[in-house]
Amino acid sequence: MFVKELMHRDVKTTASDATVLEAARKMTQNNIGCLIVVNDTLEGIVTERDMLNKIVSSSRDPSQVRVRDIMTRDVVSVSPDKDVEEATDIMSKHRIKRLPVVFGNEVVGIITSTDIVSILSKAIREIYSQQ
Amino acid sequence: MNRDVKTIKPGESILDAASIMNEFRIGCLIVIIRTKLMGIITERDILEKVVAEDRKASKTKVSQVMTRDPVMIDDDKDISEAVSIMNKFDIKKLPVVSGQSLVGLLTVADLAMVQPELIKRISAIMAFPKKARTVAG
Repeated sequence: MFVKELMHRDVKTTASDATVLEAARKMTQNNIGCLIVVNDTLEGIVTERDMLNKIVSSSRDPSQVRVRDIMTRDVVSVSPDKDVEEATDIMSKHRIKRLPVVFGNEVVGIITSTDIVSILSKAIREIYSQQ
Repeated sequence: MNRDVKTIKPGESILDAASIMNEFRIGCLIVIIRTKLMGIITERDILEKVVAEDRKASKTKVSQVMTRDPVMIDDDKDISEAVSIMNKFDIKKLPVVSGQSLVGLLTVADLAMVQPELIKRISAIMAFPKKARTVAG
C-alpha cells in the first residue's frame, strides 16, 4: 500500500502567528493531535506534546504565546509515492506519531500511527477470515 | 506492552501530571489510589480540558480531567484483540490488567512504531503481495 492511499488529505493547518489557545481550540474542535504550520510552504508542526511541554509544564498562558514559539521547525516528512512500510520505518526511527506527506513544496496529506494501527487491525481481521 | 507504567493520584495537579509526562516523555498516566485503578489521563485530555479552556494547570486537579472507567484488556489476551479494541473504541492507550491489578500499558505508538516488522509480515501475508503490485502499478 502506498502512502497516498492511506493518508488523510484534509490537513488542518494554522498560521505561525496564531496563538497557542487558538491552535488548541482548533485541534479540540477537529479532534486531532496536531496542526501543520504553513506559510505557502511547510513551516513546522505543532502537537499536543509541544503544548504539554512548552505551555502547561512551563505554566505559560496559551493566549499570550504564538504557535511559532512552540512549533517544531525541522519537520520529517514522506512523499506520497512511498510505501506505507517506509513511512512506518521513518516514524519508528524518528519516534514520531505524525508524518506530513509532502509533494514538491506542498503538504498534500498526513499519516499517523493511528492510521497504521487501523491497517494492522484490518489485516488481522482479513487473516482470521481467511483461516 | 510497557510494564513500567507511570501513575498519579487523582488529587494531584495537572502541572504535576504534565511534569511527569514530560520527564518520562510519555503521553498518559494511569490514575490510582493505592493499587486501585481510578482512571487514565492523556495529553489529549490536558489539551482539551486545560489548554483549550485556558484553565490554570496548577489549580486544576487530575480528577477533574481524567477519564474514569477506561477500557482495559487482560494480559492473557491476544495482541490482535488489543488492536481490535483500540480500533473499535478509537483509543490510543490501553491499560493491561491481570485480575484487578494493573500490569502494563499498550499504546498505538508501541504498536505502530515498535512493530514495523509485524506490519511487514502482515503485508506479506495480505492478498496483494508487493511484487504483484509493482508489476500492476
